[in-house]
Amino acid sequence: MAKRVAAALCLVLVLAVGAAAGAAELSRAEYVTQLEKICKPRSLATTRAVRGTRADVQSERFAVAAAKFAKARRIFVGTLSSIKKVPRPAADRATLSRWFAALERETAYLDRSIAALRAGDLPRFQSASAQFFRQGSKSNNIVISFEFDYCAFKSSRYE
Amino acid sequence: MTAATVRRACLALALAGLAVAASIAVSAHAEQSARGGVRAAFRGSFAPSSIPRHRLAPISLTLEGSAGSKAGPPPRLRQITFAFGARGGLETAGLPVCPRAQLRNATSRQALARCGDALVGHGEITAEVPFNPTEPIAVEAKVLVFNGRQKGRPAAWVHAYSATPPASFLLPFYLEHPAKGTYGVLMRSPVGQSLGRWPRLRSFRITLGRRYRAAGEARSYLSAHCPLAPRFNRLSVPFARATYEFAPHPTIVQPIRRLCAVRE
Repeated sequence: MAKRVAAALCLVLVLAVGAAAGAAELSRAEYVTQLEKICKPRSLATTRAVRGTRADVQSERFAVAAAKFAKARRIFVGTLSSIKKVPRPAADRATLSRWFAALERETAYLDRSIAALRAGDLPRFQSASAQFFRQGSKSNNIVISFEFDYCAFKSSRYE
Repeated sequence: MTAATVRRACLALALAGLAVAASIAVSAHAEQSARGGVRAAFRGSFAPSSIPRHRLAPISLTLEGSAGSKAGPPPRLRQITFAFGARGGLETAGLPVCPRAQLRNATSRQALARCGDALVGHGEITAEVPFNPTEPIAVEAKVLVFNGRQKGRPAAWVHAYSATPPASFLLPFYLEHPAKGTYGVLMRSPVGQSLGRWPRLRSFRITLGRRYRAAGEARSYLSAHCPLAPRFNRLSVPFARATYEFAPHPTIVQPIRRLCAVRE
């Protein structure tokens, strides 16, 4: 009986290791494809959510702009959470860790922008929004060789 | 002066140096995109850094970019388009026009002698000529930009000359004023037609801007304003966009944002 249990445990272990190894074997191209599938609908939803924010800010409709940015933030955080779960190619783990850290910083700057807009604190909004766009570009540069499309930060989405 | 004062002065200088270095690092930051194994970068700036809210003011504009691929020389660029500026931000009325033929096969000195009064910009271009892909010939050329006209419409002739290896080429940029969209000026160049089969554009840096007088008035080739709402004095705004169309593909569109600061 004990031998059977041990054998079953070994089998489970072998399968688990095999599955983990399989996941680790994910190529960069496969990884990009998986992420793009996740990012595409969310990226399009972001574009729709923030449509007209530039005009809102210019016309000092700050509450409206803050609500649009908050919706974009919810989509962004949801996307980040989903793409973090995708197993990463072994050779790219360090680069992707830096990318995810950069995306977290983007979230922080977006939070600051929203809070500043809600508070009507324009100097803080000016600074936080500039940092948000700059950080987006920095995040892109980390994973430039991945050739992301929908998962790349595009400042033109926020116009 | 005491040693402590000297130390404080040195520290202040070092901090000032760090601040300058940080600001340069930020302004030198280039936006990049990659597609189909091809990578393109684009960055830009304008001077002065702060401009009026409502009134157009003279500026100079610097556009920089580069292209490359994972392996080997950059692919052949078929067309490049820059979009920037406000509506009414480009003025050529009263500016001397350089006939394109005057610049063909000219050295920089000859180009300046023939069309110096139409000069509107300068810069550098690097290109590669991959006759032998493992040892491409690198060409670093000085660039002069002249005001031109093509079929009654404004154009800019980008004249590039390299003494070693000897090379002179002309990139025509056709200027348009789109009625709609984010930007007021479009500059389009069929680079592929102009450079021919071999040369591949590696990088460029072009500064445009010229103040001149016409009909007794001070004018500027390029002007801009910072049309922010009254309560804002600086904001990150769409600044320019480069579209690189490589042959046979891909097409890479790279928009950039910059801080727009109001000068009251």
